[in-house]
Amino acid sequence: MSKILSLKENMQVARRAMEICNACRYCESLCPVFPEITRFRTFSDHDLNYFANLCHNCKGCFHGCQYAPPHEFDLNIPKTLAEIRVESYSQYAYPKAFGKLFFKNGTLVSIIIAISLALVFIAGSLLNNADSFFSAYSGIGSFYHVIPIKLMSGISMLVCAYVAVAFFMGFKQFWLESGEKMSDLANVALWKSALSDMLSLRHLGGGDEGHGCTHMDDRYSQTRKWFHHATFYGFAMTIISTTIAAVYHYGFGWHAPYDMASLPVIFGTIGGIMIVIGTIGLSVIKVKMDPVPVAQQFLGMEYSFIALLFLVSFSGLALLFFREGIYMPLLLCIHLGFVLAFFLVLPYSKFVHALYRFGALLKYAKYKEH
Amino acid sequence: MYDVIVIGGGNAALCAAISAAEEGASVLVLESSPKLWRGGNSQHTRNMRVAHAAPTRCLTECYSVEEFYEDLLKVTKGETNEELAKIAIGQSEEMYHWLEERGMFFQKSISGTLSLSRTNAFFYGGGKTLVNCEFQKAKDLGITILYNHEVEWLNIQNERVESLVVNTPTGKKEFKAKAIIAASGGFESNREWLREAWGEHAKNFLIRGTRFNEGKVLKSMLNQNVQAVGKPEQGHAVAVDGRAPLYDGGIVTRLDCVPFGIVVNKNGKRFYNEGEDFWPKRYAIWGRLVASQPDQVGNVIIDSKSFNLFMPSVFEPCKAETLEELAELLDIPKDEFVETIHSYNAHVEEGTFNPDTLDNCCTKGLEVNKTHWARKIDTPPFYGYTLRPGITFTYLGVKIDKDARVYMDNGNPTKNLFATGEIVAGNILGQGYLAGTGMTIGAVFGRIAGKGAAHV
Repeated sequence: MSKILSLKENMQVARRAMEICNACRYCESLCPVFPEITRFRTFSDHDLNYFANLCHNCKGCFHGCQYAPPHEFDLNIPKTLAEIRVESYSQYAYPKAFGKLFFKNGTLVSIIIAISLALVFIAGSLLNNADSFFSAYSGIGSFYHVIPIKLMSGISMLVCAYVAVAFFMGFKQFWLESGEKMSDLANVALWKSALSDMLSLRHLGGGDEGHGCTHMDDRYSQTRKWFHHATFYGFAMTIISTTIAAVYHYGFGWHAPYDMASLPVIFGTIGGIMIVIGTIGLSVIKVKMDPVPVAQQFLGMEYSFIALLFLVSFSGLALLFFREGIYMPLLLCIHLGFVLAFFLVLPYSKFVHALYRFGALLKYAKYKEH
Repeated sequence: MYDVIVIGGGNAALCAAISAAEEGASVLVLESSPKLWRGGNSQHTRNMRVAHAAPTRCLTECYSVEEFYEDLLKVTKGETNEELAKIAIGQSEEMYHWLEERGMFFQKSISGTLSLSRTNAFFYGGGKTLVNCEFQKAKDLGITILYNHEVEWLNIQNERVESLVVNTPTGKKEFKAKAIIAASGGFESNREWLREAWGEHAKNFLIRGTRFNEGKVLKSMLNQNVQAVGKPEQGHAVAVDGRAPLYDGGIVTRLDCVPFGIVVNKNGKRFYNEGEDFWPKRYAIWGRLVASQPDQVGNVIIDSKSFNLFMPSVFEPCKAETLEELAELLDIPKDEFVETIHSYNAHVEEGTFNPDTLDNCCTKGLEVNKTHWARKIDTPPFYGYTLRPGITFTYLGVKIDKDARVYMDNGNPTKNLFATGEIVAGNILGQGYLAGTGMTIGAVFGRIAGKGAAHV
């Protein structure tokens, strides 16, 4: 395995790489990064952070690179940008001290999962009684026999508020450092363009040329895009499910569990299955992919996030399946433990790629016409 | 035994292999390089010249067969085989679709190119991506590919290739096939041969492309009375940055700043009109020009006025606040250098500078005048780039006919030997160069050779 470079060394490697790319330009239609660099002749650290977050890690520019190793120029753009990208997550993290969490991310996620599971089980046994773990409940409000509703919603609101603040502060720092003004964000056209790019994963699909990306070896395919879509839209559906459930609960006084034919269950089930499929697919790709254009030292962050998403969804589906029997209390605690862990690590997990990629796409939308 | 063995692993070789396999032949590809260096010079290419009657997805306007042929006549000054040229040109559009149908992608050209989107179809991601896709297609068709297999000798008897002698990772081996397709490139990476053909000064040449074009297959054929085409000293050489790597420097070693400055040799003297014409029309002659200077070196000198007018270079220029300092950095005699600049500056006629037209900024009264874009070099910092000749490819090759069949010196066709790619480019490009034509020749005659070889 190659030597792990310091941030400063990485920036130097990236700067040199961008200069070579700028003189070559063969990759101009692979993704937005290459047309963007032609606007520059010199590259500041902030510019490089922007390119790193604009990069979708499709690796087409590695397999198609006449200067990739063993060439003496030794260009490995996807790997170099991936390293800078994670460094940038750490720089933008809020609060700043938590930025370090990106560098031992697999460990962080494991510990948070363990603690969260323990907390939920403790809460379940203290606030109700230990017997409730082995009883079958049915009917309205059955979940709250295990974890009181007030605790459940109270904690989730606190955690969500924290996540929202951390995301906002991180995004703001990214945006300002990249040289843009907050007032630029009032431009609806930028949002339209970036949202369209994000929702279609246009650039992971090879842009308007549409050949996909080279995720396993040098062969172009749309597989990774579709697994990502499954994960993304599955996640969106579970959020919709939760939102509808909250409206039912607080707006209409209709309490969980809901019918199999109800909207929260339908959205949650389909979303959960999509996430399970998507995360398994993405993991298989990661296991089998060509290791050369990959920042190996940060794979822990990727695997742990995907694994956590899988665990949240899979435990959710299991809970749905067994909610009428004696396994419900245990499964509920397991599911809530994973959910709690997921939201606690969210601002310090791979999830933030969505935030800064979206920011980069907003910025790209501003300049792409020129 | 295979039906067809293809020697080489670039675009021409793969087109031949794919075409032969589609005709039902069992095909073996012998590539001399390791897998990571595969693709010959194709990995450094970017586009293919295509005649087309109407706009396509990636080609604008129309580029008629006649116009393509006229362009070819212009650069070759008529040194072309009309029959073969017209086949390559006539089938170029078909070939573009042929490639696209087989999973090779083209793109719209965006920037940094020499405005070629009317005449040239650009490979999505460049030539290496093209070659990757071709290897994938070959694999899908069940073609066997052996890397690190260098063909050293063709055993030709009675106008038939009986066997190939191949250097393999496990020693010398003999391979046999019903038909052979030579698509192994020219000899530009063979320094000894270059020196033989181009003279002593070839030692200072840089090779812009692959390090694996040793010309062994070509030499083996020529040594056994296969009919040669083209002159050994013909090739495509341009002036590249003097600090480029010895091999595989590719596109980024180019320097586009010559028209905006002056070029002096190692003695500090100018030697050619830097502003004769637009750079895309002139860059190919500068390889020769620099090659004929002492130590085969030139130095482009510009001042800060011109620094942002050209594509950024991959190597940092020498930069100095005074001309004397710059001379020192470039290792040029100071007095001569300063004298050259002063005399140049003194003869500049003020005009309206415009890099997009053949403007009226010129010098008058110098021994070597600069006829366009001449501005005084007087605004520090001053910049200097070193130039060396960079060889792209050689033209010496073997004679083929319309079926891509190789001929013997006695005028007889060989019974089972075909050729395509750089090794036959000299049939059509007797001299000069027309961007993207080499890829057209390789692809068109590759397909023809594959078809022919499959039915031997």
